[in-house]
Amino acid sequence: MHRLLVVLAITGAALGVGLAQPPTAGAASYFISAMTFHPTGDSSHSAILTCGWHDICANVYPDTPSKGLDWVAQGGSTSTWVRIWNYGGPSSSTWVARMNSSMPTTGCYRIASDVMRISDWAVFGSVVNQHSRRTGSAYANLFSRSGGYQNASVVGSMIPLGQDNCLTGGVHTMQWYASGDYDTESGKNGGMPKECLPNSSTCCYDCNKSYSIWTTYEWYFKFYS
Amino acid sequence: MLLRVALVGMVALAVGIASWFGVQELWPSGGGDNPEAAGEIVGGGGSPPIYVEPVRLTDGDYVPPWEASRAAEQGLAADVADSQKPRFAGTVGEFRLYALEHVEADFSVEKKFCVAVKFPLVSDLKFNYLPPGTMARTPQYAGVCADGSVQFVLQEFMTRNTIFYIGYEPGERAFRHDAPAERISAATVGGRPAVLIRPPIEDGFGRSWVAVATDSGLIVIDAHQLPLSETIKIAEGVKCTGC
Repeated sequence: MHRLLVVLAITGAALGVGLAQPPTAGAASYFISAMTFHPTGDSSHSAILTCGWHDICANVYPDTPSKGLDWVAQGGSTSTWVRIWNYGGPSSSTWVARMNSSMPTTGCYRIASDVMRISDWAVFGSVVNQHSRRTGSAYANLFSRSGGYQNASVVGSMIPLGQDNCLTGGVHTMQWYASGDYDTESGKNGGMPKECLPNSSTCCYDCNKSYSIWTTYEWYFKFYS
Repeated sequence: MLLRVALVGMVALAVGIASWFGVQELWPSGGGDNPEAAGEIVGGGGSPPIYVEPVRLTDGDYVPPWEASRAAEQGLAADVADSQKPRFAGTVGEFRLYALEHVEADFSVEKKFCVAVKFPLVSDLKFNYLPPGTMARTPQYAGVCADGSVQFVLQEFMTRNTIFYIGYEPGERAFRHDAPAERISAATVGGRPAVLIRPPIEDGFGRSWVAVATDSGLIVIDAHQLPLSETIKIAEGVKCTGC
């Protein structure tokens, strides 16, 4: 009986502490579960989805494997946000990553916000907003805590009509996540509407569905800080 | 006493499991749409293609000088300070340079593009040198306009902690950058006219560009966290069919 209690005590304590703590790769490293949220809006139901998961938004589904969602803002704001909700780490807010937003020189106008490890700047992945632009580059620190931490910053603005260099149906931003090899896993929210499925109530093409800014994630990715 | 320790342990186990599942419950599972494979492509029809997971092209691990010399924080400070300086607009050798702030002030400054409507995979660019540990983040693709003309050819790469874009743009030898005049100089790369834009610190932290004239336009490398010497080496190794 004593032996059983000893085993239970040691196993319980070890497992209990181990599970209660985030799995760490080092003393200051935490396993972080991150989700991207909508790039427009600033209050309840103010992010407006204009096209569900798509490659080209043309009311034809399926297109080639789709990667992004199109957004505008209620009220017409053209600000482009990056919103990342991080879970993991201690119960108090902790700095877990950096983000650098800039506009690549060649290709479709877009803002690439690269998320990087603090220690060596290894790239976990990038949040990309096409049909948006910014001057210069900007750095932001990303935080996390076990109960979740919402990181949000304006990274640029949507491109005015007539100035875009890639096909667009109007002023909006298309957001997706591009994996960068140092995330451990990533995927998109299949629960968000697709561009259109015939005879389906779960499609979105020119649909203007409104979302609160922190209620429905788009992509998720996980990483060790 | 032992019973108490066991009870504490079991409570700790229960708390641990509860907190773990609490996080898991808050944490989305991906909703059943969770692709993850190197080389698998998403997009490419009406928007640029990306690899779901980057594709490794060269062995090893590139360690940029700023990492080896632990100069990242110095580089970050230099990059932020540099961003306060006026961006250069003007001509350097055969190239016209401008920054987005000039475009926002006057859109006629922007290089004249046709509007790309599709993004087919292409193989016009060959790369004879890529740093150790290079991964492709995208396949090589073109931005093709409605009349069939090509706006650009592009491929995106990364190493562990650097990112670089290699692009070809036909037409005017002009490109958008983000640097003050003091970082910019004319040069020759591979026997061709070129323009070099140094990163904010010599060890390579921050953004830099190397643009090389081709017969019908330019090849431009937009590099993040690479020293100029490495970006030049990459540029020297780029061969382009029909450029």
